[in-house]
Order: sequence, then C-alpha cells, then structure tokens
Amino acid sequence: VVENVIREPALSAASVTVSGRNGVEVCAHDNRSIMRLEWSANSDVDANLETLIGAPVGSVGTAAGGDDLSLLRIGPQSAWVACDTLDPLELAGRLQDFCRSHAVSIVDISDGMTALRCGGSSARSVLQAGVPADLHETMLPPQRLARSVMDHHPVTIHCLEDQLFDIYVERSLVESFWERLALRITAADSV
Amino acid sequence: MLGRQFMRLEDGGLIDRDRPLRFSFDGRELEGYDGDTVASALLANGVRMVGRSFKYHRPRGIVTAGESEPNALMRIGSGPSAEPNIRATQEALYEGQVVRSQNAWPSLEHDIGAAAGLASRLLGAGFYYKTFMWPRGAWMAYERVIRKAAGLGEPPVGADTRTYESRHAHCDVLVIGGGPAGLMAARSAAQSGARVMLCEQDTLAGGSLLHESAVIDGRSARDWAAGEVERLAEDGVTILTATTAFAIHDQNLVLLEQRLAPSASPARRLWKVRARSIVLAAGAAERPMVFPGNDRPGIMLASAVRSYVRRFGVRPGRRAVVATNNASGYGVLRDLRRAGIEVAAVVDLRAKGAPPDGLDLPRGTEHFAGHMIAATHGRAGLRSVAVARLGEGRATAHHIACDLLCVSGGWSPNLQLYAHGGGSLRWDDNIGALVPENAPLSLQVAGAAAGIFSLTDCLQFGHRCGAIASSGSDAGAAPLALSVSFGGHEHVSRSAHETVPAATLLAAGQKSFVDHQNDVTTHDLAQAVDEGFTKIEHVKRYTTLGMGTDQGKTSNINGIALVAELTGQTPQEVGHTTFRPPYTPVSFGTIAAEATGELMAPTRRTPFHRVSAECGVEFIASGAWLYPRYYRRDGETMAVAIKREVQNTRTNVGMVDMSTLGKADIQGPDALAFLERVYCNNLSKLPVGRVRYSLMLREDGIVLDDGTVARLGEDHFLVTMTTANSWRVWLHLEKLRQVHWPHLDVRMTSVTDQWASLAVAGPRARELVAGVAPQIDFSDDALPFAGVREGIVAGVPGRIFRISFSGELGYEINVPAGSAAHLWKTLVEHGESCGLMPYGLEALDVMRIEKGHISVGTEIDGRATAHDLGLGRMVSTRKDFIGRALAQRPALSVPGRRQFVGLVPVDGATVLPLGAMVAEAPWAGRAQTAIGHTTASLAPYFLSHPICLAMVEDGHARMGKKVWAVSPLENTSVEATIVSPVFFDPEGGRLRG
Repeated sequence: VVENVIREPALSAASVTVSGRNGVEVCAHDNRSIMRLEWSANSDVDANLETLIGAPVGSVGTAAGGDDLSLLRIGPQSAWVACDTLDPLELAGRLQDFCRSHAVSIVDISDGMTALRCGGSSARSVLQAGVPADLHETMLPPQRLARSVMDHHPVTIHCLEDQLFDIYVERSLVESFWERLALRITAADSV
Repeated sequence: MLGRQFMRLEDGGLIDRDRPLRFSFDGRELEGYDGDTVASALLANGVRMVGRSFKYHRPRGIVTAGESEPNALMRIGSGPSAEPNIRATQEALYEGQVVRSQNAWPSLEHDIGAAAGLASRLLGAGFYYKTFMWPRGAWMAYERVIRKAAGLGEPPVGADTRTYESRHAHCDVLVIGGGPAGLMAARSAAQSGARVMLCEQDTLAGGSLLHESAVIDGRSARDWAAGEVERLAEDGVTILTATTAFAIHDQNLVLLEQRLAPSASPARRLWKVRARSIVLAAGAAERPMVFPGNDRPGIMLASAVRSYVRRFGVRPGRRAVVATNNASGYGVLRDLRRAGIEVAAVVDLRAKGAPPDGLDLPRGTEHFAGHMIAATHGRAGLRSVAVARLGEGRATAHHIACDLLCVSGGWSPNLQLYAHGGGSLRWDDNIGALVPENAPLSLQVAGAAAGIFSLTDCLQFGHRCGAIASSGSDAGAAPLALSVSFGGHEHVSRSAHETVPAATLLAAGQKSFVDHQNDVTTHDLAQAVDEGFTKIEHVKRYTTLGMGTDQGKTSNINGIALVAELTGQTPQEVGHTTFRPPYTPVSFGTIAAEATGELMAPTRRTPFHRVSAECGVEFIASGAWLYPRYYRRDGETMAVAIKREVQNTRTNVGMVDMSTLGKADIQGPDALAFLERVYCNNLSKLPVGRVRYSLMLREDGIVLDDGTVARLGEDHFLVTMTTANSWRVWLHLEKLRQVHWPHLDVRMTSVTDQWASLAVAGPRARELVAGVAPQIDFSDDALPFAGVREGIVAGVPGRIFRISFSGELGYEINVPAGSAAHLWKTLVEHGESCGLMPYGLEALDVMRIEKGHISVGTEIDGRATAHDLGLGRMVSTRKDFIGRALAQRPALSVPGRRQFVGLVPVDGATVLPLGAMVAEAPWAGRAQTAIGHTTASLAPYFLSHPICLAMVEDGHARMGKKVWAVSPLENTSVEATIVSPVFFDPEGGRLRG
C-alpha cells in the first residue's frame, strides 16, 4: 500500500460540527475502521468473540468494547468490529487469524459507513424526535444498539453513555442525513 | 379598551386583561385579550354573523366553543401562510392576527351567493346527480362552474413561509383529553411509574372543569384542574396543550397536531406517538336541536354559552331563551344570570320537563314544558323566537324577543378516535347516542366519552382507566379520595332524549337544519329516504350529511335519529358512518413537516460528488441519487456537451461515475450454489478472476434485473445490480437466503457505499489505466475482456474489472469510497496526455442506445422475458433457478409478444418520437391498434441517421419490415424500418480493443 493516501471524510469540510442551543453537539467521527463479520449458524464463533475483543460480549443489539476494538452485535450471526486506532487494512489483518480459524467472512465497510457522534444534555431527546424506535433510557441504555431509520435515513445508533451516541449512516446518505440532523439540533430547543 | 369590547364582562374568565391583542376581522380593527380564541374575541366585540353557509349562503354565527364548530370557519393569516377553514372556536388569538370570513362575496353582510336561497327548492339533496346529466356534452362547462362553487375557503397562493416539525415519541400510556377523566387517568398511570403523555386540544387542560361550578377538594373546579396539571408535570407527565389527537393507527400509533404561535418556529408540530396503552378521555359534545329556523346567528349550544361566560368573560347576548330536551340544559341558567343576561324563557321539549332539584328559575323567566321552538326571526342575527306546544304548530305560538338562544339537544360521546383504534359502537337509548362497545385491549375509554356524564363518576372512572392502562388492572391502584360538591344540581343528562317529530319539522315554514356545515335539512333527509336510502352511510353520500371539515360532529346523531324515525327503524338499524382519520382537519404543512424542498426525501451522493462538482457537472436526480448528468464547458449547451463527451470517449478516453450501481459482496461455502439458483445463466464454470454478464428473473419468469457477477475467490463473489433496482434486488436476495434456502451457508454484505466505481472507456483507456496501476498487467492475456484483478490503483488497494457499458474498450475501477477523490485526481493528472474527459449519464445513455444495451425501466419494464429482450440464449436449460418453471409458461412464448428491436426512419433524417406507439399505419386522428412502443430515441450523434429502440410485437420476425412510430400527443407519425438494435460496432471490435 502506498502511504500518504488520505481517506477523504464523507462529510464536506464546511460542516464538521453543529451545536444546538440546547447544548447538543454532533460531529463526524472520521477515520473509523469497520469490518463486518458474518458466520454460519452452527459455528462456535459466539463463544469466542470475547477473546477477539477482550471484553464480555452480549446478545444481538448490544455493543462491547475492549481496549481498542468495539464489537457491535448487529445480527444473530453478524457483527461489526470498529476501531479508531487501526486503518482498515491493519484491522483486517488483526482479525484475519480469528476469521480464518472460525470460518468467519470479513468485509471491509470502513468507507461505506460513516459514524457521527452526537452528545449533550438533550441528545437523546433530539435523536428520539427523528427515530420511530423507542430510545428511552430504559430501552436504549449504554452499550445497546438501535437499528432504525432517522428521518427516513437508515441508521444504527450505538448508545455510548446516557447522552452520548454514535450514529452510523451509509456514506452516500450522510450529507443528506446531516442536513436533517442539523435542523433537529438547532430546532430542538423549542420542545 | 373595554369600550370596544362592549360584550366583555367586567371581570372573570381565564384571560389576561393586562395583555390586550389587536386583530382584524374582514378588515375591521378589533381587540381581544391574551387567552381568547378568535371566536370569544369576536363575541366580545359584538360580532354575531361570522360566515355564510355552504350551499344557501345563509348568515351563520358561532355555535360551539370547541372543535365541533360547523359554522365559524375562518381564513386566518395573510399571504402565503394564510390558512382557510380554521375553526375560530379553537384558534388562539394573537397580536396582529388577520381573520377573514369565508364563502361570501362581495361582503359578509351583502353576499350575492345568498340568492341561492331563493332557489333552494331546486337545490335539494342530490340535485347535482340529476341536474348535470344532460346534455352530455355540457359537462365540461358544468364542471368549471361546480369546481368554482365547490369547497370551503380558498387555499393560499405561494409557498408557506411558516415552519413545521415532526417528532416521534413513545410512552406507556397516552391520555387523550385533559378533562376530569383524563387528568385522573394520567394521575393514576403516573403513580404506577408509567411513562405518561397527556394531550389536550384546548390551550388549557381541564375540559369541562374550566366552566364547571363544582368544588373539588375545597377548590373551584378550574383551580383544582390547574393544580392537578402542575402536579402531573412534577410527576414527569408530558403535557401537550393545544394539541389534537387526530388519528389512531395500528399498533397504537397516534398522530397529534400541536398548534404553536404563528410566529413560533415551528408553527405546528406533528407528533407520532407510539403508546403501549391509550386512555381516550375525549369527552362528549353537546348536540344542537333540530327545529325550524335553527341556524340563525345567536343560536348557540348551552355549553358554549357557559364556556364563553366563565372561561372568556364574554356576554354572548343580552336577552336569552333556553331550549332543551334534557336536564343539563338548565345548567346554563346560573351562568346567564352571572353574566347579567336576562333569561326570558326556558323551553323544555319534555312534557314533564322541569328544572333540576336545587335550581330555581330566575325571576320573570317563563317555563314551557312540552314546547318547542317553532320558528326564529332575525336577518343577520336572532331577534325573536316563536314557542309552540308540541303538536300544535305556529298558530298558537308565543313570540319572545331575544338575541340569544341557548340550545341543548343532549350529549354525544366523542368516539371518532375510538373507532380509528378498532373499537365498535352501539346505540344507547338512555342517552340517545353512540357508546363504545368491545373496546380493544389497549384502549380504555374514560369519562364522558364512555357515556358517563356525572363529574364524580368521571373522576373515579378516569382514575380506574389510568390504572388499567398502565398496569393491566386497577387492583393495586390507590383509591381516589376526592370530595366533590356542587352549588346546586350536577351537570347530568341521563334521561332518554326527545326530539321534535319529523312530521312537525317537515310541515314547518322554515328550514330545520340537521347539518349546519353542509346545509342539510330535514327535507333533504326525507327526500333521501323517499328515494330509497335507508342506512345512514347511504344517506350521508346522497345528502352530504356528516361530510365537510366537521365530519358531522354536531349532526351525525340527530341525523341517525331522524332517519330512524322516517324509516321506522331503530337507530341501531340505521347504523353509523365510518369514522376515519383525521378527527379534525390537519394542514398539509403539518403532515409534510420538515420534508419539503431539498429535505423532502433522503438524497444519495456518490463519492465523486465533490470532485465532479469542481469540474462543472450538472447533476440530475435519478431515484435517490444525485447523478452527474453532463460536464458543461464554457458556453456549451447540454446537447453540445453531450456530443463532445461521446466524441471524446469514442476517440480518446472518458471516465464516468458508476458508483450508484448496487454492489453485494457474497461469500460462504454455498455462495456459488446460491448464485446459480438466483441467476438464469450458468455460473458454475465461471473461473476466479472473471466476470460474467448475468440475468436475474422473477418467480414468474419475467426479467427482474441484469448485472455482473465477478468471482473474486472460490467462495467469494461481487455482484452488481442496476441503480434503480438495487433495493428491490437486495430484498429479493435476502428473501431467498432467509426464507427459501436458509440451509445454504451464504454471507451477504451490501458494499454499494464501500466502493467508489469509475468506468474508464475509450481507445486510450488501457494506456490511462495502466499508467495509474503499474503493478497490474493489462495485457489481453493477463486481463482479458471480462476479467477482474485486485491490486494497487493510484496507490490505493482496488479492483479493476475489464467490462464496458459504453461499447468501448473499458475498465471499471473500484477503490474504497474515501479514496474516490484521490483516484479521480490521479486519473485527471495522468489523463491529460490521453485527452481524458469526464462524461455523464446522458453521454453514457447515448452510447448504450447506439450499442443496443437494455436498461431497467425502459426495456426491462416488468413485462419482458429474456427471450423478448433478445437474451434467450442466456437462459440455462441445464439447471434450476428462480423463474425457470414459470418462464416456460405458454403465454410467455406465444406469437404477439413485444420484442426488443431497433428502428431507423425510412427517410433517414426524421427523429423518431420517444414514448410513441408503434403501429402499422400512420396517425389518422383516431384510436388505432399499437403493435409496440418506442423506449429510446436518438438524433444522429456518431451515426449518420436517427435511431430508436423499441419493443414490437414479434419484432424479431419483422426485421426489415416497415412500421410507423406514432405520437398522438405530438400529432406526428414517422415511418421506420425494423432493424437490429445494435447500431454501433455490432462485431464488438472496439469493446475488445
């Protein structure tokens, strides 16, 4: 691989952070590497994911975080592994042995999914306004995932802390999504 | 200030007298107070006539004090944000508000349309069904007149300048209605720890408590309600006032419209609430009475009069008569006395009607039991009524001067939302109205909406419903300990209601209106019955009873009772109309919310969007995608730019953004077996490193999509799908994988967004691509046509596919989307010496048409088989696949099927019309049989003559035959010859370099 090829962020440079009057802030969480793993129903992968991540792994719809890797259980036999410190090739390399030994398919989606980070005292309320799924703290506590749509854009929402969320959006939709989200953030103070 | 509001009481009301508000009504400057509705402010200024009726243009006044108002529909606001048909009885008053009456010209007082009243005998029920049937040819002229006359109000012209917002919300219990039952339901639900929302359509919660004279726990009803609202808020209940629930859909999805100040942003908010349980405490609506002349301004519901006096501090008249058929009608007497309104008489329809215990009639007030209002008088407002003993008619009538007639025809539970939620209704003779029956499990009906009219009972029952809604049972709920006392009688109506006999109404000299909004009279109902309509659903459609913006809130029950009497049926047999959303009118702005203009729908941008924009691209929306259409250079028209792009690609090299194509990464030990079943062509012998053009059929044998299948490894494939079809194909694949063949070990990932895709095409394509990927061998041996290689491209890990949609030597380069701009810039840098130019969708389309390549939406149109498209040879006869069985249906191989062909004009010059039909004769100005249709048409670009693609019956057997491309719309016919659809480089020499 030739060095110095910069991964261009999905969002245009002019709109990297938006702050609402209600203290909510959203910014692009660039350069995140994400691998999609999928395995067969009768494999032993479930029992071994913990060794891959270095942290206990929960059921579908949960997230687990180790020192540098996060695992998002997006389906019964599939997961995303996300990392901020390794580039996609490095991350794929790190997962290679595990995937090979457990017959897990691995697909790089680092450039296909864009992560946005949304936080602030009323972040949950702002997101709830656009999402038909129930984001109440009892339904989406920290380390839970919600796969839904927000203003008709498919999203995966990862609750990191009570009022801190990563929102994963398809790259081609992220500019469009950003416009709607920014509108919600700047308008949400009236509720 | 008070001088102008000469009908305002000296004190009282829930208005802020320190905050006067100026507004205009039909250009007259008026004043009201903060807390007023438009209706209360108009009454305070002595305005009685507020509109003209729909059909006869009769003067009409305010009837109610809430959402059921049939008459006081106003155009509120000015300019593009003006909104017609707003109920003045619900619209809060704001500073500077512009209010206009409707349905009157040139003025409300002198309305030319009132002449319709002179012809009222000709305008009875269903007159338009009979009148406009002849002469048949005149219908178009009738239609123009009818359209002009139809409808209420005028829509604003121009784009609405207000903003709207939508919100999703969830709760355990949604309480609809903030009256006594609703407040108690919210209290008990919140006490159980449930997440509770309460919506109230009024600007204040409290419902009837706002004008009720009861004392609850030692406080006036309205003070107690205010305290209860504060307490609920402290308990975490979300309370939305000025918010109307207008629809209940499946799974308890409830839609609310929240009205905010016009100057606020947003002005309206749409709430989409998903509630585990719903408590419907929407109260009950008082009914008008049907009697001759019952529509004059000054005739109001008794409950509305109470509300205007107590809630708004307004005196709706100076001398009143009360007409009632039930005990609750007497409740207004106390308020009339408080407002200093003289009460001339009480007319009780019941033979033994008498004031409830504890309530004395005011001194000098006459009481008429067993009497009815036989007539009313007054042009623009009520001046007197004629009171007659039931059955004796006007001859013995007693005339009483008055400017206010308070009527109470009984109470009807508000159950429209209950019906939306799947509840059924039955007629209850005790209250003469519909009541709930068989409520859905997650929908509790509380208070007056359930037919319970005692305040004490409403409070208790509401509390119980809240407990059941939140916990499934009221067993654990704390008992409600409230002391409720009344200064006199309690506001109840338990006795069976009585109505004026239909025969008496029909014999009267004046019209008796059943539906004020649609001018439906007793005569109209009788006519409908005479003509054989006996069920209320049919009567509604024939007479318009219960239609319009109020959907019969004040007329449905009276209509059912009258039709029952006229037909000799019971009201239960007459039935009721179907209540459908919305409960009250909702503006389109609220429904659209933020989704307007560029935010109307999600938009997809390709990874090359920004670099394309820097090159002067014009984008075009293609599905959800913004696609590069063409790249304009100085002063070029689109046609010139497209021609330049095509020419350069054919002579040098061009590049086009192909990132919108759907892409799926398919892996797993059964990946090949899966794809073999999905595609109709053979893939079993596809070697690693090769690509194959493939066709996918639907179950019924019709072509679903086309694309490529690239084998990247033994068990690893990348398949592409057309842009427009990619979501459909993805769902198809997922269904096959999860439902049809779950035993196959296949893993699928959409990588449409992961890979940026750029097609480089033209005679110098190899030279250019080799320059940016020096580590890859581009020789024909190493990378032949339909080959794929993975390697480093422009310094980035990527894939190169030797395929072409343009018909030129071509390579499709895939790199991670984040590196798209880098790839583009690298190619531009290296391409300068090769004459590289980007090209867009239009140039690509020109080249694909000249090559006769099929496209989704034009040739792949949901009707064509592979054979129809000239691709029959691709369909394997040696394997099973989706669509195989039904593709062999006789119907798909009979003569006469439309087949894919090319057309060229016989004169070699005339461009064939696009979207034309193909026929065997030219257009002669009358219907003719089509034997096909054109799907694409081109003026000469590279070729010396225009060309056209078409689907023609038995087209493959008609080669060389003459046909006509006929466009009745353009009144043109062009004679054409059927030819092969491949017009350019039919041998494919350019494709293979």
